Amino acid sequence: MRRARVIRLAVLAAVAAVTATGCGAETEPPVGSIDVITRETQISRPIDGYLPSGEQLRQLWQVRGAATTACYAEHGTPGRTNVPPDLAARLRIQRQEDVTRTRLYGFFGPEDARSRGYGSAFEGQRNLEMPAPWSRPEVVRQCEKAGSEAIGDLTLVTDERILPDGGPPSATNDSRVTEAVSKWSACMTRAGYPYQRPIDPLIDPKWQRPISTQKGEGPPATPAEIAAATTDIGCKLDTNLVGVAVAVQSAYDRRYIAAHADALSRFKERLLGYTRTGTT
Amino acid sequence: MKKTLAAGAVAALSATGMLVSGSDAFAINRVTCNENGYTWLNSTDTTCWANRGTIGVTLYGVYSVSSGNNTGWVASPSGYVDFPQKWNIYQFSSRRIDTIHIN
Repeated sequence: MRRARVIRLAVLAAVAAVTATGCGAETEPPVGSIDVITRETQISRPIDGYLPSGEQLRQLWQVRGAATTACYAEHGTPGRTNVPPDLAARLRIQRQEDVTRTRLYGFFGPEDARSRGYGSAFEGQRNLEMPAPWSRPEVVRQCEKAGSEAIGDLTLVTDERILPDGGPPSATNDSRVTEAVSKWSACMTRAGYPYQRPIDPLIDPKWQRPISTQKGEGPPATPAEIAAATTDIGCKLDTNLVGVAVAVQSAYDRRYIAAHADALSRFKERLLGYTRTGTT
Repeated sequence: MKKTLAAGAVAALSATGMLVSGSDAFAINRVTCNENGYTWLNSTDTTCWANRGTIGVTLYGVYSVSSGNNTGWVASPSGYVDFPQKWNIYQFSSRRIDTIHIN
């Protein structure tokens, strides 16, 4: 009798634990129609409309930068800023690369692959070192912290991770995505590139060309890298990996949006509060 | 002028209740270097960092950053080095790093 009660309690506890950890919500959401995606400009997701605009992000950078600069000045280091001069262009490129370089489907820049391989639109565009007047380490820490606190420690990532709870969960492990990835992987393997995951070519040391932060660029893509990148794109087109991945991720987006309606509303208001008071 | 502007902005944020002290569940933290999605600060004693935010450190002889699935910057007493692109390696002359920021 006592043993039966213990078992019942254990079962109830297990159910409660599953509920508390949200495992019940981890079923794979239904997916609607799957588009054939052949260009990165076709890619859009339901979550896109909830992300801060480029202009909002720029204003947030400015508010944070102004607070940081003010702190340095108060500590005897005037003119020290952490805001890059080409901020707007940089944010625009980051947004593009949020679409063309993802863990979900890897690299997808059909035009870029032919000219830059796996390289980035950033290359050659800017000096990535921003000299600043010397400041004591403890002041650097204090003032960078003061800058972050000026925007409520909001971190200014351009992708969905800026959203409440880190944004929608990734569909990377969804069975429909893994099935499409398997087809892509088989295609790549047949072509002599035995990659398992879409992100693998992007992080393959063979194609990594370290960027000098002084010059803002690295060595040019080799013919071998361009061949790999164009094969990668070809396999994605053959298997419609990107179409499947975006359709499935969109289903996760919709479920997240439905579950976070209030939080997303508050987040939007919070952003508006900052950008209304932002500097230009 | 900038100081006045910043002070005004901070005061306005305080007044509207927008200042939030940092207890972010996703705050930047040091992690074991076992995943290439992390940001790696390469030196003879390489360290790895995950999640987002700003953190004060003292890391000597850092000569490159592998950005992983992140963008951001590192600060030293002489200025900032940006890593604006995910999944890339940024090389620079060896230096001490005082602050790491991941966007």
